[in-house]
Amino acid sequence: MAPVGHGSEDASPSDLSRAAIERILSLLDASTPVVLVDSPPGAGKSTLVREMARRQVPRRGQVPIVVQTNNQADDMVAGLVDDMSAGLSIGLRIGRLHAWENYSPPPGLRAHSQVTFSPKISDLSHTHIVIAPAMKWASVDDLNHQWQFGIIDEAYQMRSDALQPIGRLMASLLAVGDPGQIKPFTTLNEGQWRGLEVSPLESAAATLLTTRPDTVRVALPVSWRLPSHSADLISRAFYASPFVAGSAPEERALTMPMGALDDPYDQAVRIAADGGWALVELPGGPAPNLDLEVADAVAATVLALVDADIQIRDGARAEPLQPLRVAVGTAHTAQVDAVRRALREQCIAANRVVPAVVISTANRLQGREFDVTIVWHPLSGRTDPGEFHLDPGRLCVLLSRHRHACIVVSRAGFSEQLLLTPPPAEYWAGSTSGADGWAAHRVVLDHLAGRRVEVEP
Amino acid sequence: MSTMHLYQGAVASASGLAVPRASRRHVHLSDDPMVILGYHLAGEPAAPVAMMWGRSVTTPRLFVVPEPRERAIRFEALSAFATDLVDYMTTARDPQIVLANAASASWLLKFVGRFTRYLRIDGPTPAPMSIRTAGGHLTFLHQEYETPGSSTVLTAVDALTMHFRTGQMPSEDQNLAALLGWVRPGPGMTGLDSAMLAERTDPPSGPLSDPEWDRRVLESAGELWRDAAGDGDLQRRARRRLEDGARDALDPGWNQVWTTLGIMSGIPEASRVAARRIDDMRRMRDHRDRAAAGQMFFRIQPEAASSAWVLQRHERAAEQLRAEMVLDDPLLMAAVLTDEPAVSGTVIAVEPDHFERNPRRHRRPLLRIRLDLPTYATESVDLHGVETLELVVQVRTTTDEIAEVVIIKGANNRDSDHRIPSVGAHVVFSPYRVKEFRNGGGPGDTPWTHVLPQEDDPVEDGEVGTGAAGGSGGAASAGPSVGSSDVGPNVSGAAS
Repeated sequence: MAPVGHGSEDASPSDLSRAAIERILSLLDASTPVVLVDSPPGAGKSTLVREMARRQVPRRGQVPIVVQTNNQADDMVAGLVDDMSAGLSIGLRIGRLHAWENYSPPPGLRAHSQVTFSPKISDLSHTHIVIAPAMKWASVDDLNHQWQFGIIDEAYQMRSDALQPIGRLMASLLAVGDPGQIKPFTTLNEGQWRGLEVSPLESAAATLLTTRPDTVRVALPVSWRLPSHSADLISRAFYASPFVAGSAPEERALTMPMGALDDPYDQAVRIAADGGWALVELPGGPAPNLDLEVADAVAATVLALVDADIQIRDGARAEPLQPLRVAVGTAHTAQVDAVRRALREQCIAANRVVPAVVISTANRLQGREFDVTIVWHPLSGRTDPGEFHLDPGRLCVLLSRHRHACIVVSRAGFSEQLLLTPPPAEYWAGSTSGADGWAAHRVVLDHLAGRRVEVEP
Repeated sequence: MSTMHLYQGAVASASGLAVPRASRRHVHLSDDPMVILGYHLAGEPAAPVAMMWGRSVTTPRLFVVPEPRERAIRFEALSAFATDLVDYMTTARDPQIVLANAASASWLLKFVGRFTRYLRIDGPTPAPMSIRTAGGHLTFLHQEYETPGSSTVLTAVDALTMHFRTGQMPSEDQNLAALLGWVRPGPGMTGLDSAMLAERTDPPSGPLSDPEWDRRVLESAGELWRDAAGDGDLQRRARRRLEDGARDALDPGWNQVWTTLGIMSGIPEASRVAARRIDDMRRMRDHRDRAAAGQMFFRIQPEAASSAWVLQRHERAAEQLRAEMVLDDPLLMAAVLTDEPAVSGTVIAVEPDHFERNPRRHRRPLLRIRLDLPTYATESVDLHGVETLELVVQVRTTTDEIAEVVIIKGANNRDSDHRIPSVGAHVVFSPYRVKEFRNGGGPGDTPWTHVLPQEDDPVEDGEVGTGAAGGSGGAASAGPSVGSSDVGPNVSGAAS
């Protein structure tokens, strides 16, 4: 069951990627009951899902697609509409199955002649592809509606219990997902469910691997998002099957005017612009969950970044760095609020407008992409890192949202803390057994150690 | 951990007295509870050593097992307890089991329940039927214990920590004697003094006994018992010695559990407790029907479909419980206001005919509110009325002192204008609301995606019946026999 799909050493990223896609297609054409595609961050997962859906329609009839959220469903519809504008499968009819309440179709798609929105599956029988979140599929009557084949997007984000209604509706599956995601969880006491052979708290992907040993697993070998210096680190730290960057080092660059660098935050921005990574380090020591000094440092880093007059080169794209393409990522919601507050206060003090950067938790940043990210390290200041903070999926999500650079903000000394913390439960993204989050944290820390700037609160 | 929780911990620590975490009681209290305390042999949870149980503080019953490794003696002792439990579970008008702590619940309900409900009532050392029936009740009680919002099983520690915050660590709160020390310190003592004294002097309230007690009381009584083999008088004396020792050890815990119930009854009951109790009793009725029909079936490994169904049901119940508690209890709501997106303050201006576009024009009455404390709420968050449950609002602008909110739902047409708060009213809007969820449907069949590949060894239903012995009619599989090693559950229900 080892992931397969890697070509020879000297094949180009495009060739590698194409070969993996063709292999998936041939598996589907051979009616393989379960195909699981492991996709690293930014490997073109959504593009793959759309292509596979389009190409299975002639053979299988209507193809259902299961996503995890309403946004993902609307994005999938928009992607298929864009594909048609680009000349792909022009006559395709798309159905968007949605909840009875609290849903309104996106304004741009509402009136599209080839898209039908309905809360009833029977209204969509004329469509070729039907898209809905797992929760909506769960309400479809499985006595009257069956599909021989279906596609699941984000199979590592989806909890196993949500897969059950899908199993009742669809007889074979293509499941696609990023194994470097935050593990599904419950706020309940987990003990009751953790010991089970088929636990409802596992991911849908893990369940399929347990119940279906005939699952064929294919790893996408290329990240088109991560720049070359990041792809190597993220692949090494978090993924069972290695992947490479789709872009050559010279295709991506952040350039900024020369200037004095008295301010440590400016230095950190410079280091990140030059080599993709930087670490802003506050003095060590234990700190509460809501470490307001770290929040201040994160806000100061945001302002240093948006003020640095950075020009982006990204293939043929060349433009100034936009605040909306910058994200701040944290582990906790309260930290999001603290950063917002600190940023607002610093802007009021400097009599300026608050920059429109995106500030959110790792959970909410899953699946999103930015040019530069600023990350509040989950272990910063913690004396009691638990499974939540050590979960490599959380760190992996935070460190793999960027096309250009990532700046990590933390208190010093967590390297020592990590040495004192026993490794938690075993984990390796994309494998049901393997290494652990502890090792992943070490690899990341070692890499950041040489790119450090010290700041005083 | 919420700011309020930290603050309460600091106040308790500084003052040396536990402080209330909740201003209402969020559990139902029966006027006829059954309290159960017990010890098991260290390292051997299937071997109870002593149990104390009863329906009033003055009339505890006690059993002891002078030779816990001997199966017949264990059954003899357990059957007195089992008979009482079965009777209580069958006839009590308002059944409620009260235990000392979570470890006791997990031991008695989960572990003892699991090994007794599969016992064979035939063979060389048959178990009394009452024990197997009690096993079915214990397993049901374990399910209730895991169900958020159920008051059918309470533990004294969980009830106290839900309503009081001490100045010590949560793990230290697990010691009921120490925890009560903080809540009701002895005369002239601080909570800390009381807790420390209790830790030094009070025997544990189970399910593990004090190793010193094991050596001093249990071992010597056991030796006496073994030496007296065949001599009835001597064996009775050995048993009495153990009974005296067990009573000494369990009495303090027994009194502490009843004291806890007294403290809890002094807290006014939250308004939604009664409705939750109706749900408890509905499940209890179903369980009693099954028990009466000899149909208490429990799987050893639940099917994937049913474990997923229970998980989802419990998640909804937990969410609902949290919302109900917050809406019932101003002190819990205060904790929400300090940490979560919520708005609390006094209405200083109302614009009933305020309109917004999204993209159509909607009437959305606007409230200007002088805030009690700054709010974290942002524009996209729906907040629900606490005084008027129908109202849904969103914040539009806010400073640390003043927030403007618009009413999204609940008071948007002329018929519902009476719900718009008036100037001078104090209002609270929080992310919590009470959702009715339908409990309909069952788990359904397990689909192909969740069935394990090879089923060499099909697992049958474990079975407990109050009616005719055996029952499932043959098909005895090669499950582990209880005859020799008595810990393992017996898979087959019937005589073979």
